[in-house]
Amino acid sequence: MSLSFALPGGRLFEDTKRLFGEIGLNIPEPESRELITKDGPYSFVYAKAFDVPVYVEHGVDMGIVGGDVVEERECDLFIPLELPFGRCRISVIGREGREINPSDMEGYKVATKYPKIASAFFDSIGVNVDILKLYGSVELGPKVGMSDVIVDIVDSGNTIKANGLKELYVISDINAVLIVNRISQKTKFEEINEFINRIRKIKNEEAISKGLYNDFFKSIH
Amino acid sequence: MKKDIFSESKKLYRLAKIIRNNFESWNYEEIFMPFMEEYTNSFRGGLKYTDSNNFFLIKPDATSQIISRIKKADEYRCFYFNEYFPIQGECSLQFGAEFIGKNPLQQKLEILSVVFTILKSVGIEDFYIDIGSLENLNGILKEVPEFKTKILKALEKRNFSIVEDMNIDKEIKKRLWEIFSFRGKKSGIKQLDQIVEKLPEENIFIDTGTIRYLEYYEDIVFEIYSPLTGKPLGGGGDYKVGGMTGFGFFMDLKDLSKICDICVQEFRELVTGDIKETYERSRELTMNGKKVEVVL
Repeated sequence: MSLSFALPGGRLFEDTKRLFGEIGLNIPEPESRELITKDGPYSFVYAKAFDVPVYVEHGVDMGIVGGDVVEERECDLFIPLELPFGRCRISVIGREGREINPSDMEGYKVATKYPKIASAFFDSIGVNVDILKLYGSVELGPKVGMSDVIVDIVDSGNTIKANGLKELYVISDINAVLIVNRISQKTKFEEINEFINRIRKIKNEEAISKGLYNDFFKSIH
Repeated sequence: MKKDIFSESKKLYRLAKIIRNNFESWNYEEIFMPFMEEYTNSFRGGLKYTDSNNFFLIKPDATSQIISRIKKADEYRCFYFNEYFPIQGECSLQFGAEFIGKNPLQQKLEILSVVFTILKSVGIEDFYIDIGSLENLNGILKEVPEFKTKILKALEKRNFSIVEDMNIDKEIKKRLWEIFSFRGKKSGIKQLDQIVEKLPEENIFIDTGTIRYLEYYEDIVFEIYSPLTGKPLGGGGDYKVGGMTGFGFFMDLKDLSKICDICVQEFRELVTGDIKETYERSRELTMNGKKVEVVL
């Protein structure tokens, strides 16, 4: 039976390619502007990270994307696996030298690519803020005085440092996740479970070899 | 711009008509839910509304409204079309049915049969029904009550990693793994197996990971889905009410309308001519059960 995957570009794609390679699944390199590639029964759809959950919700069987994007898009999906890459955090970031706790940010303007995550966070601590939705380069917000702080992904911290910004509060830790279409999980039950188990086995073996994990998984397979 | 309510309603009306006919064929009677209920914990969902010191719920879940109104032990077969406000999210237009009585197996087989005939009669052949057992899961949850929320979250997302990371007995993890990973026709769980044995349709499966954890469901739950859409079309389950048992289901009418193609052809008598005579003739025809279209 065929299986389709929606994949984002950039570093997540490279990590995904490596992981799939470890379970013997080859992702053919897309040529120039090619949007779909195939390898036997597997097809790969190349999409923007923010669109990956939408493709999966509406018919692609599985996808790999950051947990932040899944949370922001609020799609109705299964998330059977967290993956051992794409680790970063979503944080409140402000100007260097103007450190302030989020609970004291009443009335602040918050620029972000993640309005739902940002709103949910400030609502949870009972602080009213104005959310400004941007599509990229959110670091510009505080620099041009348009916003007081930003809510964004922090990986190494180099980008925010280069822009005179500082991570003030970590909202949540994030990593890449495998997402599955709810209906495919039923109609392709065995194929999808077998695929998940192959990845889980690799993931757990890595963890066990690093002494990070118990061997429960081995006992059930 | 506002939606074209006439075009949308035309499709919903035709769909609702077919569904109503199905319910009537199965001897179910339509019931009409109150718009607003006084706030109590017995209702699920509903938009909270307050007037002075009185608290109300607007359009809560229909099944909880029905359960709260059963006054005497009798057999009830009813169906409804109802708007529903969940605690979070948008209002939806649902239809569903409840069969309340004293024969749980009959209730389950009949309600599932009604679902089959409705979907087939609106032209949806490609659909599946997965049934699961809450009792099976509850047995485990009772042993590790402090992990209940996490286990339910793991099942909701089918994320077994969450269970793997829990500090619980290895044997319990194994039993949970069996719940996560079984889908087939024979599970060893008597209540599930007997339903599938007595419904020979190919598109009904036991999926022990199918969990609809609503306040009133007791044991058997099910989900209806189709590859034509990315989310379940609806679902249902069993419950206890006043010494009896009930089994029911709901589906979202608008979601269903998006995936079915209904073409209704019906004969109408064209009545035309002088305005007075036309309506006189039309009244006569409609009183004799004929359908008319007046064109002046």
